[in-house]
Amino acid sequence: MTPSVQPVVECRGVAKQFYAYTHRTTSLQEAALRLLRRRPLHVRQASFQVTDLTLTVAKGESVALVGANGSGKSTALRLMAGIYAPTSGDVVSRGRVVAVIELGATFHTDLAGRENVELYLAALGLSRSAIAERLPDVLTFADLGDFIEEPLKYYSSGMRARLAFAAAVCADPDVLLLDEVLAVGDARFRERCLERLRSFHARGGTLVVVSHDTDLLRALCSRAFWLDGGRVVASGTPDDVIQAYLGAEGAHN
Amino acid sequence: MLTDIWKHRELLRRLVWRNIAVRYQRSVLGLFWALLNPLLAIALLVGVFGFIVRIQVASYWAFLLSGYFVWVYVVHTLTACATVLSEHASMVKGLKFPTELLVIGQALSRLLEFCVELLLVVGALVLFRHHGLPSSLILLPLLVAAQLLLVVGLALPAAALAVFFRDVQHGLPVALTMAGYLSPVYYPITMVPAGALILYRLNPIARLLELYHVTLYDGKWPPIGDVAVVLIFALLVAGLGGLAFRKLRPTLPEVI
Repeated sequence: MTPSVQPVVECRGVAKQFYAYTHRTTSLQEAALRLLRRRPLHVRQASFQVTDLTLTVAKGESVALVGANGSGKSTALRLMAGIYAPTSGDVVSRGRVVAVIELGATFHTDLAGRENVELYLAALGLSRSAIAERLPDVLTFADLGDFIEEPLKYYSSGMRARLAFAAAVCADPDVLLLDEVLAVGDARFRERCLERLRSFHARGGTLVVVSHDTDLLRALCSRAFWLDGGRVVASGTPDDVIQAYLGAEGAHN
Repeated sequence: MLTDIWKHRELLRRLVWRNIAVRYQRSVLGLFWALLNPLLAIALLVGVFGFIVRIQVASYWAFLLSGYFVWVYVVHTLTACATVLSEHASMVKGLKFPTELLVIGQALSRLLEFCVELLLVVGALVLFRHHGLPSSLILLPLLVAAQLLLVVGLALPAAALAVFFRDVQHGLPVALTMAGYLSPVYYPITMVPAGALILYRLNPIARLLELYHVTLYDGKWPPIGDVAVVLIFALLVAGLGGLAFRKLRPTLPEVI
């Protein structure tokens, strides 16, 4: 598969500033008191999570993001998905971008698994007929049997992950952003996920994967970025980048 | 904002039905509660104010019913919207979609319940007070629309602020109880001293209640100018509320 030139995700000098609060006003009474005493509502220090993130992902590419905890990988995914607005810089994405972050399609614990999937697909902007069309595929892939009609609160974390992944991959995305999704499933499901991701990729789908599972990244991705302090410190083939990253981690320890 | 909502109309439709399903699931009587609840409330109000507490307003029960459920709608919707975003925290954090739909979905699902209540009230008034159908009832859809716009306009900023300040959740019920006594819910606006009347005129909900009183309790046509003022007010509140929500929306996934 040779990736075409057109970028589907483009981050140009993206910065996302978060703050570490030493004091945070969370009640109106406190807010009134602090205003009276002429004290600031929030006392905060800038803690940059992502600074100057510049990367482009071409259509049909499969890209890995590696880095230590807190290096900004998940934040980068949220920026690409449009969930976070960048403090500065531009994020441009084309087509339907679907991110599986946190619990993905599983958010309402009182509703059945199937109803959660339907709600999720609707939230992605799918029409009624499109939802009806995709649903069987999701249910087959998640393979939860009769459990799909049970409320989500009775699901194990592995079952939730299966449902979330199935819903996202069957939503027919142009770009799929995955954040440590395959870590919780069992071996058989993992194998089926990999297979599905390969066929998604073969059909021209674009993939961005965040994981600490370096074998998975090597198997799946053709390019890798190493993030540190919200900055791309290295990019290249997964083998080279992962080796460099693991080497640095080892030296650190 | 409106095109965004239109694009996600399927989500809105599902949210509305979901809200209703969740409210009545695991109950033996199910949807029948939507009918039983207002019927019991009406029976109680008619019983207490028709036979026990005598208030110097002709058929006080009819007066009370004309505005009571409108106010209940305002209170229930605003209180529910104060928690709706935090109840859907993982959805707000993990998905890009117009989060205002969660608020609008609440307002719409409760509006369906309100419509059932309104029909029961109209039935009671037609049977026991007017003994006929006053033509002013044609105005009701317009009043319901104004009510929805007003409440959505107030609920949107309330919902977003509740994410930043938890005390919106605590303060809102108290504020609403007070507002209920300061609006003509339990007494006609004619009882309000002339000096305070100007303050009442500033409260769009009070104006809306007044319109309901005229159309339902009096069975008369309100001055068309008053209807226009309330509609314009409602559109303004909805627009400003929507803008305020839009302003706060990008930070919601970070704070929630």
